[in-house]
Amino acid sequence: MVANGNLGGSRGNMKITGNGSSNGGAFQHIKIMGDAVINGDADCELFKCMGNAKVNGSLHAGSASCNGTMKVTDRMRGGSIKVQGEMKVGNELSAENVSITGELSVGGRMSAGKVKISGELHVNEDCQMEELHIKGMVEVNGMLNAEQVDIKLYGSSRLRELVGSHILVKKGIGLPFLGKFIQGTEGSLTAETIEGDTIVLENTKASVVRGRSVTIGSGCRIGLVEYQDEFKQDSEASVMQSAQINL
Amino acid sequence: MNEEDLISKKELLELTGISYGQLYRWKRKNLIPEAWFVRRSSFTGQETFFPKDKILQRIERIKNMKDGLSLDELADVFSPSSHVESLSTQTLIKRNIVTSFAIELFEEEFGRQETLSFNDILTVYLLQKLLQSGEITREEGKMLVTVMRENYGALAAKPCELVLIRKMGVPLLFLAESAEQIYFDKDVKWIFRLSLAASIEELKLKLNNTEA
Repeated sequence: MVANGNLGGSRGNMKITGNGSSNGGAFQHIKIMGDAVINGDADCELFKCMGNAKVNGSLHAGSASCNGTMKVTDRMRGGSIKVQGEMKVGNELSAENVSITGELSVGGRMSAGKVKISGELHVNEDCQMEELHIKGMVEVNGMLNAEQVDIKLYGSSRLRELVGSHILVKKGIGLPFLGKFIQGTEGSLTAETIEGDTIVLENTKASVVRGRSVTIGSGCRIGLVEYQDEFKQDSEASVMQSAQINL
Repeated sequence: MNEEDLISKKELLELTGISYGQLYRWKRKNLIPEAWFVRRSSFTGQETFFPKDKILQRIERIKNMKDGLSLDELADVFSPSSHVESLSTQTLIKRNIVTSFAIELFEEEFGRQETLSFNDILTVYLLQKLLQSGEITREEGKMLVTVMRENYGALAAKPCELVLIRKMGVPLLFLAESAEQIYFDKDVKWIFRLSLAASIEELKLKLNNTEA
């Protein structure tokens, strides 16, 4: 089955059930149940996929939801994106609301308003958002800049720079007893620099942490802490050096 | 760029009294361009530096304006492109953005215009500003509109400067995409060099203000 849209003309709907392909275009709704490949850029108000979808090009969707796997080889833009399963974007991703249960990987930059993820987030370049809530692991090969960051660690997360206003990193709930003895069950975060106004960390390894009020919780290993107002350190944390600075 | 022209992030926050949260919020909103974050390695790993004069001036302006305008409106003021696509010449005169005198001079070169695009509004605005300050003559004003019309399109959204020099009474007007250092022989007199980005900011404030 092949369905093609006409750019600029009246928008129809694309519906693919079973196996199918399309050459893209502008649509009102794109609905995929089964397995579909779209060869070319696609623009739609609503994108819905149950199963597998691959867009060989860019995708612009007013709202997109997917149960299953979804892959966009170029950039993706959307109002709200909801995925249960896996989503891969080859280039830049920008969206207002993102909610993922499963995995999201972005090959370029990512910018978003509110992001909620249970599972994994991989971003290859810089990443900026207003709110980020993650339960799971996060990997950003650049700067993660967000007004509010809330990470509950499961697995090992890695960031180059983590910056924003309120940064909260908590360990996930590991195995109640064994977790103490088997390393890695609680999750961890490794970063080069963490900077923000209020910073609360657990199970974090970082060379430099700078902030107004800094709380270093259990399981942390920090090279240098620079704080302005307040600094608290858990007895199970190691901080090589700390200094109060007057900003 | 010289070492002295850079300021470290820590010094910047100390000097301006803003917090990390504010700095990064403004970066997210593109009030501070990505290119100004200069990374250098130091003994603690990597440090971020900024071009001193530019960042201090920008932060001062953000601090002054942020009470009146939302961050998104501010972002628009600082961005080189505009949401104002075009305006009619009548509206421009009525809203006191440019004078009818400047528009007449512009029309002498290009014929009567009903509406002006943002680039043309900018041209007329510059023309008026420079004529009023007495820095250019009418003839040079005509040069200005031609230079802007022919070249500004290609430079759009890039930081550039408008420069006027005179040698033995012969004016030479040009747009420079980067004119950090230029040297002329001693007979050449610099009349002015004007950063277009600053003028765009002024113009946008005027356009936005009268809209509200």
